[in-house]
Amino acid sequence: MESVEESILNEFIEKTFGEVDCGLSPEWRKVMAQRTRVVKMDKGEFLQIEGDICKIWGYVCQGLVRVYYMHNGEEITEQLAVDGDAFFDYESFFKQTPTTRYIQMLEPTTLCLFRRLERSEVKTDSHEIRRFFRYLTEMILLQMKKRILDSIFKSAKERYDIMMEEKPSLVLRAPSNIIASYLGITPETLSRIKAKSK
Amino acid sequence: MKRIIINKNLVASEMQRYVGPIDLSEEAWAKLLKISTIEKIKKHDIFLKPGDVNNYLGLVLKGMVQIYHYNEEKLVSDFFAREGCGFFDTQSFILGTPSQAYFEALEPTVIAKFDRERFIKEGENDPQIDLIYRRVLEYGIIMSNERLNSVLHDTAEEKYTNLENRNPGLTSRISSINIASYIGVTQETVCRIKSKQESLF
Repeated sequence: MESVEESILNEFIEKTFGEVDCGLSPEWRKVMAQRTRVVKMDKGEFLQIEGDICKIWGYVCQGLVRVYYMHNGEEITEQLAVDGDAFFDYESFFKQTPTTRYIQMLEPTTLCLFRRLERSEVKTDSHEIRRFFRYLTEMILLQMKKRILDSIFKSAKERYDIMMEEKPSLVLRAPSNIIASYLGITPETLSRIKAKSK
Repeated sequence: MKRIIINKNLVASEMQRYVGPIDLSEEAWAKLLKISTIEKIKKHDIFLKPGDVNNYLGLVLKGMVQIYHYNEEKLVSDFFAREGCGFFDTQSFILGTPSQAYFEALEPTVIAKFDRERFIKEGENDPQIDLIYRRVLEYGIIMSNERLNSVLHDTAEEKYTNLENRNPGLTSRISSINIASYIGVTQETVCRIKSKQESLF
């Protein structure tokens, strides 16, 4: 029978890869699932604060998570992850250096945490697992490039509309100052956009 | 142009400047060299253009490469690769689709090209080669995330400072018009930032 972790892993893979083959057989999914765990956290609780070394990436089963950092005394929201979204602390996770990112629950949240593979594990692991991580990093890089182009070429209104279309629940559930920060605009601009959209 | 001696040490050291220190066996370095070719490129030569498939990872050994594309007839610079910088057009490189980007040498340039397919093939048999390839992707993600945050939250002046801090000396090697096309402001604004920063010293 499928364990809880296994079915969440499968859900994560489906959401991330869509139609694309992730290259991971059921046997290796079982192995991967053994490296993950499900945790419940309270609203306001931190999974990680500045100075920690990030060992995991997360998948939100249910709830709302924000990744942010401090810039000129202000909290900048870099990622918002709602039911079925993943979140990452890229730099600390890849380089294993102390992080500048805070990961906080904006709602009572159930998370699945995927553990980082240690270098020693990577060397001995099958090429199937290594290929999976290669595909995963390629997917993330592609998604990020798209977000960069959107931020350069699309107006704040267009980016808000994309968010409304792709993640309507996010706009309803996250405080608007946090949404504004995520979109890179002021709360005033956001409320103007919202007023016009109605 | 000063003569530059290309040997495996140069490729190894520039690769490590790019993705960070890697403890590789002699054998793995030799494999990496085998999948690479060295190319000299004249100043202002465009060596990748829209429609081409970017099927290799480039690594600058000497000189400078500008990666750019056009958006509604406006030139937008995505990246300036100096010595010890890798470069590729993400979508074309990963998916094998025709590129929309230009690669142009801004100076007399020498690059190492690593064939993507051979890179991956070697990596399937050799975890060390695979590790380098994954590091390239990881580094790409970190840089892209930084760029994304910078585009969304930094002032023009901060963007200029970040560019220089990441690549000491870069802003004096490229024209204001190119810097402007990276930051997303007019050339006049770049000149104003430049003279303001110079007056601080």
